[in-house]
Amino acid sequence: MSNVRYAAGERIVWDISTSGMPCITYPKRGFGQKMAAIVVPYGANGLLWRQKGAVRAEQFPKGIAHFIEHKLFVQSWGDALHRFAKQGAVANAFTDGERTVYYFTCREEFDKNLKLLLDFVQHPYFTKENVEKEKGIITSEINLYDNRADWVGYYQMLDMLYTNHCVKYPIAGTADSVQYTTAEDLQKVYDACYLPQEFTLVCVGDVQPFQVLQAAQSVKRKEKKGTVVFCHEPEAISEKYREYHMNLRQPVFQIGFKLPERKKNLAEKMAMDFLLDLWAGESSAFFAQAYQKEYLDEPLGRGYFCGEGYAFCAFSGSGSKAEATAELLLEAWKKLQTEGISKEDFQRLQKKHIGQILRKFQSVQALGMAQIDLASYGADVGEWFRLSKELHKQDVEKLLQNTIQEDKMVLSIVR
Amino acid sequence: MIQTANTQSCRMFYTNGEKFKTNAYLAFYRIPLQREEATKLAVLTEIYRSGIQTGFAKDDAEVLVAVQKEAENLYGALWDIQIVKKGAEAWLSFSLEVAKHVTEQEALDFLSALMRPVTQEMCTQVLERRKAILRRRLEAQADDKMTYATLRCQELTGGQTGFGVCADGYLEDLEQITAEGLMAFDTKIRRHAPLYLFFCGDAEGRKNLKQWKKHLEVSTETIWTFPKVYLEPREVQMVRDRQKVSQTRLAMGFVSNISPKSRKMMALRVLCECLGSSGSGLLFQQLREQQGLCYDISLRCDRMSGLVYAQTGVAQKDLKQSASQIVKIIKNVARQGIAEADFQNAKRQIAQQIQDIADHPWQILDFVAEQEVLQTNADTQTYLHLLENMEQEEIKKAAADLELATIYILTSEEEKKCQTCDMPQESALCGI
Repeated sequence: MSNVRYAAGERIVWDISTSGMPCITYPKRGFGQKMAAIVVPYGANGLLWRQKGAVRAEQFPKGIAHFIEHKLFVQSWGDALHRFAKQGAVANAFTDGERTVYYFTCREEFDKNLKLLLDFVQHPYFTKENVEKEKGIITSEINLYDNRADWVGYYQMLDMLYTNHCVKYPIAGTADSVQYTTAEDLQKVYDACYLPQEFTLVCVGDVQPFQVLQAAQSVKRKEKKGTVVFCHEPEAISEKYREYHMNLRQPVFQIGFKLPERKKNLAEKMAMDFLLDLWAGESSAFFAQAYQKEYLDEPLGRGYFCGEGYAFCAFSGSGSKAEATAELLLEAWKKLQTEGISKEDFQRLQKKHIGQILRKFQSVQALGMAQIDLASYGADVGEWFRLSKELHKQDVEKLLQNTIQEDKMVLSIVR
Repeated sequence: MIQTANTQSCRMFYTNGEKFKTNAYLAFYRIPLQREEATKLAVLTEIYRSGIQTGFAKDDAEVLVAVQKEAENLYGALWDIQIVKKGAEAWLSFSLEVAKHVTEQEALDFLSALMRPVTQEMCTQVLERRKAILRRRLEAQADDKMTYATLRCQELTGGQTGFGVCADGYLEDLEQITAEGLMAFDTKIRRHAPLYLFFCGDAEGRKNLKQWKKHLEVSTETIWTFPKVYLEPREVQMVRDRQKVSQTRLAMGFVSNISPKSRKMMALRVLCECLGSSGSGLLFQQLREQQGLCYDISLRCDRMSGLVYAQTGVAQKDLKQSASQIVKIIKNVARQGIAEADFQNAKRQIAQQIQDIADHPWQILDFVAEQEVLQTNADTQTYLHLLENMEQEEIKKAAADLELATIYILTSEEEKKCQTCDMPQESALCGI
């Protein structure tokens, strides 16, 4: 039986396939574009896996989730990317720490493309030959990202924040780990970690939820033989300050704050995003001061990240005054703690956040991507919208206590 | 030399956006992009971006925050003031997207404040800081290797014409910019640049546009016109910059001299789609999937200039092979065409891109603006019809029209000379 929800004048339909896979559909009338995505809750952080009943965990090669993403499009009958194109769709995929997402957009032949999506993610075809060929391509991708100072600075920051957790390793792995990965490794990890009953199917556009559910019935349940596990992570950071040199004209930097491990919670994530905006956003006293002192030309990029075994806040910026900016940021936090949040600031930012969520309903792809992000919370954009309207000043104020600690701060600079 | 003509200096356009959750407003002044004025235009845009003209606060840091607070109060309205490079011209554009909860009056008051003329006093107050911001941004361009390689290739391919002018300005021109000079330039723009106003949203949009126009001072003087730019045939130029990079970036510029209004432009779009705009493109399939030479590779055409750019990242040892492969594939298409199935797929993809315009307010506005500026009088149906009747032969001709103009290489490796001819080794690929 479908569960239908309504938000911002839109209908959201939840179904569960016979295999247990949630199917979330946003039937958007009047839009020609359609999108479907499979969210696989296995990503680059899944490097340790313990079989049921085993004492020790097995180690997977770094970057293996990303390697699977590259090779899953290759099927025994040919290239799924090519087949999508033939059927009028544009397909793509991405991997992050916690998930791998395969998706397509199209206007016609949605059902046919959806079937193809559901089919190819369940049928890997890893051969020695095609895995060997991919190594050069992935190494080239690694080199491409190594050219990006913001990327290098971000992973440098994670390496300083975390001693053991796999979140500190780059998604694609390293040139070495890629070199040693075999077709057997890919198959083994796929068999262990791609469990269709744990996938989420997201569909957006002028599509019928019952047709989505019908197609989703082709997904077959697989026995779960073990779980991804993580090593114990100490509360302390591993290093406070590090620089890397890339001969940049303008240095870039990342400021990270390690937070205690916690369960993923959408309401808390929203409150954290809110808090980061109040603290260092475009309209914050911190930004006005940093701009006036010529530490910053633009507001810091900011984000709250939480997954299995880790949580942290990160700020990114550019300029030659990274240390002074970090100090000012910490001062601004202390001031916020002392003075609290004004009603006016809270209400203004609440309006901003409501407007931002409303805009997600604006386009098929924006909505699809937002839902992909919400899949791991078991929530939809409607719930997010409702929570943002119901958020109280006290919810955000609660986070002002004990969230950010000076001794958990790291500064990563790339010059 | 800028030409002028007497025509209507402010034109307004309404498009129905009732299905969207927001109303979108776009205004732009159309300006010829010239080397000697590019930096002035970039600094002027920076002055406007500072928000000082709004009068929301006196201090320049406070005003930035005050403008942002105003936008947040309008349900997180998205606003921007920027230079949009379109072929050989620049659009000084002001845009605003607001949730439909926000009243028309609130939206227009905010937008009109952003478009208010800057006084010399205001300009003087923020000039040095905004110049410093622009200086840092220009210096940092070379830090983003991928974008920088494309930018350099565009500059080199466009040469001395507006196509080759960098709309972000030039470091070497920054020092000489003064508040007086900027104000004179601003006045010139407001007097002579054609002004366009667009709205996509609720049904009462036409009323909004009229209301909006009332807030603006519209010039009655002669306005600039925009002659067609033609690139003379020339030798292939190869430029190599050395930087610390983990991967060599290769960018190649091709000249077609195809007019944006011509039917051939659609053939060029189909050609680029076949070759390199997605994972099923020929370049991606042959260079990445079959030969494993690269991770990213693309070929895209600038619809307003007819210039085509290929770019990829490769190991230094594969540079020569990659560049010659790209040229070889284009030449092969010119001679033999492409597989019928690939041709039909590409047509279908382009048709979808055109149809998708209707699902995005900013794409609608951009499309309408381009058609107006090009004076095509075309809607999306016109292009879909054109596409439907497109034949393989036209793609072959479009490929044959492409002339390699630039090879740009960003690498950390030293240049190696050929032992026989003493030319850089990569130039051996210029049998091309």
